[in-house]
Amino acid sequence: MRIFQFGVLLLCLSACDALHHDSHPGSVAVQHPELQTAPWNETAVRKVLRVFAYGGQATDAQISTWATLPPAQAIEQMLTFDEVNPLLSPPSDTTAKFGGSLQALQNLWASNDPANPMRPSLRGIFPLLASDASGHRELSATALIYTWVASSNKRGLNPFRQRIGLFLTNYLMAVNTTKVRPPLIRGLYDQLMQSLANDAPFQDILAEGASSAAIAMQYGHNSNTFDNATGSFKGNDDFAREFHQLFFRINGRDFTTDYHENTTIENTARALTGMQIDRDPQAWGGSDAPGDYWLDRIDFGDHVDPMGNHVNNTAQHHGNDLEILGGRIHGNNAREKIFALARAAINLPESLDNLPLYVISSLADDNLSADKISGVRALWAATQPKNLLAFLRAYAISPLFLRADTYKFFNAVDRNILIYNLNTTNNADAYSNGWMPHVLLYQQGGVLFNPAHDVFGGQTGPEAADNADIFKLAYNATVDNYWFIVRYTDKYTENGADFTWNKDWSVLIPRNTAGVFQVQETGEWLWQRFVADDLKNYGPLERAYVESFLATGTDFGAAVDDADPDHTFSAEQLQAEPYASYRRAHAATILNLTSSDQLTRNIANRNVGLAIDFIAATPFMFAAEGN
Amino acid sequence: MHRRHFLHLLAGLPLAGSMASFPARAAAAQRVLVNIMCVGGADFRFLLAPDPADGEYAAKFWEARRDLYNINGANYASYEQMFADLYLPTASPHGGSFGILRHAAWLQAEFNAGRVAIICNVAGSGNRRHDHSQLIINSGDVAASQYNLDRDGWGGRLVETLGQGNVVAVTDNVSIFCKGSDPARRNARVIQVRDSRNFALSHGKDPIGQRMARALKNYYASKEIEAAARPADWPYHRFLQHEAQLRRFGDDLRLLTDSHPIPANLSSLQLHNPLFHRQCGNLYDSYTAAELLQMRVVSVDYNGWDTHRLQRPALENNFADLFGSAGGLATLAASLPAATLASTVFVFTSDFGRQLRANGNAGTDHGSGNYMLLLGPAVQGGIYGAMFPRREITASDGHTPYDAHGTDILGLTSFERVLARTCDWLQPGSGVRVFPRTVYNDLSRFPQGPALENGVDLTSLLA
Repeated sequence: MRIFQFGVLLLCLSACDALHHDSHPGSVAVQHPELQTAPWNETAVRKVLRVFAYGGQATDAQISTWATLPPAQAIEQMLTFDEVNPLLSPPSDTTAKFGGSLQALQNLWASNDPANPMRPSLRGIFPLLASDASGHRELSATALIYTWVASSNKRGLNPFRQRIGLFLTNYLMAVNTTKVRPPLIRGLYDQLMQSLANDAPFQDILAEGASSAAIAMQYGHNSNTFDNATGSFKGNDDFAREFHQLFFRINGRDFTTDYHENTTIENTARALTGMQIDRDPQAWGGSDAPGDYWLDRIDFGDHVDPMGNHVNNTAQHHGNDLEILGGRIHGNNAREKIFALARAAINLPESLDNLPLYVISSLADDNLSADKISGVRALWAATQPKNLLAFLRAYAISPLFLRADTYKFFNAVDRNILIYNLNTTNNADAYSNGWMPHVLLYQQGGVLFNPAHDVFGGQTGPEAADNADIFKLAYNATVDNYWFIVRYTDKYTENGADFTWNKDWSVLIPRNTAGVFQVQETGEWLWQRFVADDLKNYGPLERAYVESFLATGTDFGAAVDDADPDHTFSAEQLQAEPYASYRRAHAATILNLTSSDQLTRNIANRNVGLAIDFIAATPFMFAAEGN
Repeated sequence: MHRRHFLHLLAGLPLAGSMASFPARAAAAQRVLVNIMCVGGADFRFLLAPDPADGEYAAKFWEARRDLYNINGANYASYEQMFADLYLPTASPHGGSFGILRHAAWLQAEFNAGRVAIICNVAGSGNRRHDHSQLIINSGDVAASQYNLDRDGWGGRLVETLGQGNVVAVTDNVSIFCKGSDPARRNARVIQVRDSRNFALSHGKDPIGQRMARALKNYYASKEIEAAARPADWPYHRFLQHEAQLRRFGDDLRLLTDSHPIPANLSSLQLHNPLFHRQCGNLYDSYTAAELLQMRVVSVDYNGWDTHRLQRPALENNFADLFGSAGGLATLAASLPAATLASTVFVFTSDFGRQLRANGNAGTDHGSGNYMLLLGPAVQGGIYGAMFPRREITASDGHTPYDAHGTDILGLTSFERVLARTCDWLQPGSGVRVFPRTVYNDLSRFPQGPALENGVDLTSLLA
């Protein structure tokens, strides 16, 4: 392993010759003190995609191409905040046209628009406004969950964008549908994504969130007011603390406790006055629940809202400047003050130290050693302006990430979405196979937009890894609900017409030099697709079971001796006779994925599904390694 | 436990109704400490209220906290009116009286029976941040680094000190409280019983599922042997450990729970917090299997105490769940044999207390000092420290602490002292090993030792 060094050479990501897009969002120059990029090959590309983009949806050919490009050039193509990233997720139908927002996708999938590729029988789960049996209509939080989950495996969108959108809303900002109505959260998500796509600096992304209706509702400062005549503040200081702690990772280290508690936090509470949210009974199609009337944007001026309420967001805002974080914060309304405060906060030494570590530990590394911590901080310090995309790109190709002692435990969302995405062959599969993993997310503590921790966001990777019950649930899902993954055919009727869907792995699995799908190579390809470790952990045990399922559709014990299926084999035994012969026979078997007989093809696809199902339950699908 | 031993245990169990079906061996089990973490910073001052007869204090209390009570249409004109409506007058064994929230009627009954200790003015964290404060209280380390989440907790250290036994976590997530001191095997002595009735790994429900179950069982059995050669920090060890533990206990626990239904009054309980309800069921089952699990310490949590807004309904629900006559603990206690209860102490901890004065949203903001509660027959009931200190209504510069936004309950007694005593109750001498700073408890010799409120003596807190 090469030793990480600092301060030797300036690398300018956007200066990479072949793909230098001066005007392209995300091409912000990052001059950072990294001497080296990490060894770069196909496995490295897959590791980046596995951790940052739920595995991505790029073709094998594209992955090979990226592996041959200079990493700084490849990463500019791999990770973007564009609505559509055609290399990471090639469009194949109309879906890509709606990739700009969750709102657009939700509206599409709920609609009867001829352009809607969603199965008609599934469209009913997507409407924002749901009706019960009595016709009572209320906003649906589950529809938002369905929308996000469905977006994660559709080709033509951008899985990296969804990954970061979920991180920002469900972790860093930790907004929760138990306190905030779904369209406000959706509005926050879409606004953040738009700002990221527009290349806004990270402090503005955070300020955008902090000034949103969703966050105001979450923490209750939408009712904070300041009487400028009497100097009287009315409200709470909840988000005044969390603005600093959660959004910028500032706990007051750079000041005295008294100053932080009684000046910074108390004055931030005053900065957060005048954030009332308008209400409109028709806002979301006419909900019957008055609690659903809230709009997803705050009008920071004095005005009358659609319900006729006088909203005095300027008059009830603390008009004067405020001393916060050792400086004067100016702004004519809460939004202006929040953006001004964010610009101060992002450069505070404590935030410079902590914020990048939070981002990286949340997304990519649960084993931040002292030298990695130094490196990540140096990288963030050198990222000017503070552009999240540039930072993540530089990090992802650096030895800070791609090294042997990096590992990231998957939380329930990461793991299940990764499997869901990689078990999808194309959009025909994504739309026709009606199953989605939202139930698994719920069971395993990964409820979207309802973070496990009220303040600190969703289930973390280390939490999930420590949790024997989550392991059990994941394990048992592969045993009792194997069809989630194995599912290979479905017959259904839509609008009076009969349809049949059949899984077709032949569109992805490469043929060998003989032009056939041989079990050994297919097993290796599957392992690399799902585990992305250059087969490092694909040893005799793993091979025996994966190849047995591929070749025979059953476990190795039963395949060897149906009368003694519970026999346990050591790796050494598997490499000796008589078991080596069985393994050779399995490995040499040809999968009939392109047979002229549909039943034969179905069996072959079922066996591929069983092999994936087995891989999904191995330890190697519960974490990602850096190298 | 050896298989033969377990089968012997199972065979000896009666199968009839609730209490009668409780395993006799479990009922006579060793002492058990149940730590209930109230996540979010519980305002235990809302649980307790000064007697209206304490006119000067009650007046300040009411002036500062009136907004907490007068919400959702309530409009109490006076403190006396509110107190009469919401609190149960309770005699202090040390003279005088105070109020316990009506929603916590079972707690009051237990207090009256001498089984509840209220330790006042307890401080843990020196800051008002949830994450760091939870880390401090769960680790039992006032110097806990705010960024190091990979560390041991006081429950984990306690079972290590005992030499045998496990921490049983009936929670959704495994708290740092449970974790042990070996960085490579933090969960070695933790058994997570998040769903006691579905604890085991599946053997498959149909032929395909059975094939998969068989493959995985055999694969993991071999992989665990193979992985023994891997370095201790290999990230996949913990999944192999999960599989091994679930395999070790799963089927036996299923046999036990299948033959011992959760009593109807507990299973059909209607609590505001379903997760806490589930934990109560898990705890009942864990007691049923206490010998199998070697349960000595239990981790329970209750979320929903960060009450910046509309505090009253939230806390009334929370306290009803915890301490109400039809609450989770009252019902659980009624379902357990007296011998089991006699060997159990419940400890109630939280991130921090909350500020004295109501904020502008009928809630309270993060504070510092708080009350800590111990409950159980072994507890020497009573009040330890000043429940409503005079200093809180004593003016300085014209203002009393109740007048000023941002003022806390002053923490005068370190949480370490209280928790170390509970450890000592579980096993004499363990307190100072789990809470090393308590070696400096003699403040006359070690002024830097864990704080103790003047006049308070915790030595006989537990018998």
